[in-house]
Formats: sequence, C-alpha cells, structure tokens
Amino acid sequence: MTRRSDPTRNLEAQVQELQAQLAEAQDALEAIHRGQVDAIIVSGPDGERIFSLTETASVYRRVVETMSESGLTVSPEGIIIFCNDRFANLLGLPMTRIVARPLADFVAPSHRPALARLLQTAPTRPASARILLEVPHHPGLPIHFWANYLPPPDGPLVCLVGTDLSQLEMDQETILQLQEQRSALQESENRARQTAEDLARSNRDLEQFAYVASHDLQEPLRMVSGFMDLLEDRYAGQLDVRGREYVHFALEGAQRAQRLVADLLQYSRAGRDEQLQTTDAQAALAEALANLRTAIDETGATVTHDPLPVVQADPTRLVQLLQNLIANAIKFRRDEPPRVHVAASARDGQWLFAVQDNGIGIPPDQYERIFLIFQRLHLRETYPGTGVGLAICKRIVERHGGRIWVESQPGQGTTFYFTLHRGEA
Amino acid sequence: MSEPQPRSILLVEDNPGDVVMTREAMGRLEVHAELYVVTDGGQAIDYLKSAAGQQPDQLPDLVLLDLNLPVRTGREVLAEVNADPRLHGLLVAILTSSAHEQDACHHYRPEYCQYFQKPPTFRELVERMRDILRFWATRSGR
Repeated sequence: MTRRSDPTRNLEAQVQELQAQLAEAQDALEAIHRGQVDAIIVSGPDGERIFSLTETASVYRRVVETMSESGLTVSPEGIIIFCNDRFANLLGLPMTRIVARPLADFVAPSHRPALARLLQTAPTRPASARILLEVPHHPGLPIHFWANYLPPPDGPLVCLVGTDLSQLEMDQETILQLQEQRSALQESENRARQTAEDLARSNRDLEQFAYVASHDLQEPLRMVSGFMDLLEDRYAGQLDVRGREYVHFALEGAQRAQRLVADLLQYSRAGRDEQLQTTDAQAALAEALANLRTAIDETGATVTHDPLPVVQADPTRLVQLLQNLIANAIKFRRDEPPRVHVAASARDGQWLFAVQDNGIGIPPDQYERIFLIFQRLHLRETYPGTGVGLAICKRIVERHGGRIWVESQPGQGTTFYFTLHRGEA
Repeated sequence: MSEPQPRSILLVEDNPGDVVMTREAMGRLEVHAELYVVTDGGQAIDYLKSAAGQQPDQLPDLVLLDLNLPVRTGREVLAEVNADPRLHGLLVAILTSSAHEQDACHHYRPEYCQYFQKPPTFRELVERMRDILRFWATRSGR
C-alpha cells in the first residue's frame, strides 16, 4: 500500500465533497424539473427570498413545458426559476445548467440593458422586447420576449414567453434579398429592352436612310450619265480624242455610281418587309436557276441538288439568296466548267444548306470580309461587280434568324453554308 | 419614221433634264407629236379634265407619266383618270426611275397603261421611247 501525504488526502476529500454537492444540486434541479420541488431560495440584494412552486402551478407548468414557444419564469432580478424544454433546446444546454442562473448570462452583452429594462417595466405593465441570446456556435439568436408580472402571493415573478425570430428574420432577409434580386433583374431587363428598342430604331433609321439615299441618288446620277451619253452621241464629232476620253471616263464613273446605288438599294430592300411563310426551297432553287439560265448556258455550268426541304422564309428573298450564291459559284470559276451542288440536311432543329462549287476558292483570311458590303477580292477588270451579292445573302439569312459562313480550299472550290428555320410541313 | 405616230403627247415630268432628254429622244425617233409638258400631278389632272371638257375633246393621244411628282403623285393622277369616265381609254405610259413600282398601273386599267423604267443612258432612252411608241401603236389600234 502506498503511503500518501496529508495534503493529497485533503485534496481528495475536498473533491469528494464538491462532487457530492454537485450531485445534490443536480438532484435538486432534476426535482425542480420534475415538479417535485416546492420552493427555491434565491439570494438577492435584499437578502434571500423563497420562491414556492405549488402543485396547482405544476399543472400549468406542464402546458408551458410542452409548448413550442420558449417559456420561463424569472425573479424580478432576472434569476431563472424555471424554463421549458424549448428554451433549453434553443440554448443547447441541459436544463440543470440553466435554472438558477441569471438570464442575462445567456443574453448578448449588447442586449443586457434591453433585458434589464424589460424586467424593470414588467411590474408596471406588460412589455416586450427583442433580445439577442448568446448561444454557442451561433451568431446570436433573436428572441421576442413578452413579459408578464406575477405579483405576490405567487410572485413576485416575471413570466417570459419568447418567440424565436431567427427563422422569421432569416426569411425576411431572404425575401429582401429575393426582392432586391428581382428588382435588379427587372432593371436589367428594362435596360436590355431599352437597348433593343434603341437598336431596332437605329437600324430602322439606318435602313430608311440607305433606302432614301440610294433611291434619291438615282435621279441625279441618271442626269449625269444621260447627258454625258447625249453629249457623246451628239457632239463626239466636235471633240478631239482627249475630249472624247474625258466624256468616256465621266460616263463610266456615273454608270458605276449608278450600279453601286442600285445595289445599295437592293441591299437595303433585302432587309425590309420579309413575308415569312412556308416556302419550298426546291421551287425557289428552280426559279433562281431560271433567272441564271443565260450564265449557266454560257459557262456550261452544271448545277445539281439534293431533294430540298420546306423552310420558313420569304420566297422572293430565298430565290435571291440561292441565286446570288450560285451566280457567285459560276462567276468565280476556274478554267473548267463550273459544277455547283446544293445540299440540305437537318441540323439542330434547323435546315443546313450548302452551296458547293469547284471554283477558284477563297483564302481563309478573307472568310469574314467577303460578307461586307462593297468589299471585293479581285480587280473589277477580272471579275466585275460591286461586291454586294454576299452582303445581301448575309442580310437575308440573318433577317431570317439564320447564320451564313464559308469554307474553302483555294484552287479547289468553296462551300457556302447557311441555316434556315424549318417550315411547317 | 413612217409608222403611225401619236399627234399629241402630255409629258408629266418635274425634272427639266428629263424633259430635255425626252424631247431629244423623240427628235431622234422623228416623232413630230405636239408635246405638252406639265410639272406636277395636280397640273396633269387639271389639264386632262379641262381637255376632256372641250368640244371636241382635246385629250392627248398619249400621256408620259412620271410617278414621283410634286403636289399629286403619278399614282393619284392614275386614280383620277380611272375615276373619270370621260378619260376612259386614255393611254398612259409610266416612265419612272424607280425599279419597284411595276404595280402602279393597277391604279388605272392595265390594258391602257404600261410601266417603263427610265434607263441610265440617252441611247437606252431612245430604245425605251421606241418601246413606248410600240405600246401606243398596239393599244390605240393604229
């Protein structure tokens, strides 16, 4: 047996003593909880006071214990005499560690004055306050306490009923956030709509401008070319070679300007007043080929095609689109007779058209540029034209909600692709 | 020109250059018709109604009508002609710069009306005038 020193033994005794006290206190609190205790003695500034817990009260205590609101009874100084499960659950503590402690211990320091005011007011009139509880691992639990004073002989006591506001406040915050998000969304929607309207108006203005400009320019240009021609026709004999050359250049310039203006007019018209309807692409191709009969015969071109579908399109524009692409394929041919094939396949709920040729091809760095109005890749002397055909194609396709692009092997051929919406069969 | 010719032509044209060019083209084709010129649609209507009211009527054999006119447009002139029984059968050649108004004759009667586009050069205008005279000859039964 090991011999121990006296201080150690004393310490062991003290611990045992304290453990016994603690067990006793725990038993007492358990008893309070079970309603087996009749009274609690609380030491206050005015000396000790006895709070009795009578049998009749214990019936109501059962009600309070099981309700979904926090319920507690405190002394006028704020010592917790009783609390229900709900309150204990909120704090996340066993009831034995709550009862007999000051309620202020569980309240955020910043809210302790509010609690003091509530308890002070209660004896004169019913009062309520929002109090932030301090709970472990929690940023603070907002509780709305309603305080009612219970005077002697049962009191003096303050009965507190607390409603947990955390969910409500969280909901309110969520609602606020949602409202903010919604108004932000609405605002951006409004802005987008405004921008779209502005853009549409600006586009309409621009189209109107292009239309009017090109239309009204025709008249004076016709005067220049008409009278230059008349001058040459009637007075050529009175002009020397140089004079006739000047007239020739003036006439040529005016005629070229006329072609540009006519093409610009055609371009601006290509974006106006489409009548979208169910359109047979095969019939449109037949019409385009009929319009190109001369060019096809002169070059010995062969144009073949897949069975073509029914699409949602303006028939006139579809003819123009196919005609421009096939005319291009024939125009930019190599030394051999042009071969053009028009194909169509279903792709992503749309129809994908392909116009393939065996022509001179287009260098990759020009794929974008060829679709710009009045952009040309060749000298006018080599391949005549103003450079409006593909710009018109792009405009037509885009006005139909489709896309147009090109793939090419320089020296071997070019394929133009475009998409159109399906027509109702 | 030995073929039958209109004796009188009303030219409704606000552009002095076009008036000159039309005269030149008619001269080139040796058309010797009286050429009356009015420069807006209102004058054209007044002229025609006044001519129709005379005994015997002094209506022109042919009207050369521009469409883009001041006061009253060429389309309005056609509608007036169509509405007045005294002007029924008047031959109208529309001669306009616009390529997109082929349907204008529907304001009148397609059998008495034809659309022609003003060409860019004088020599082409002479050819166009020849076409107009052919239209006149066919429709007037001469």
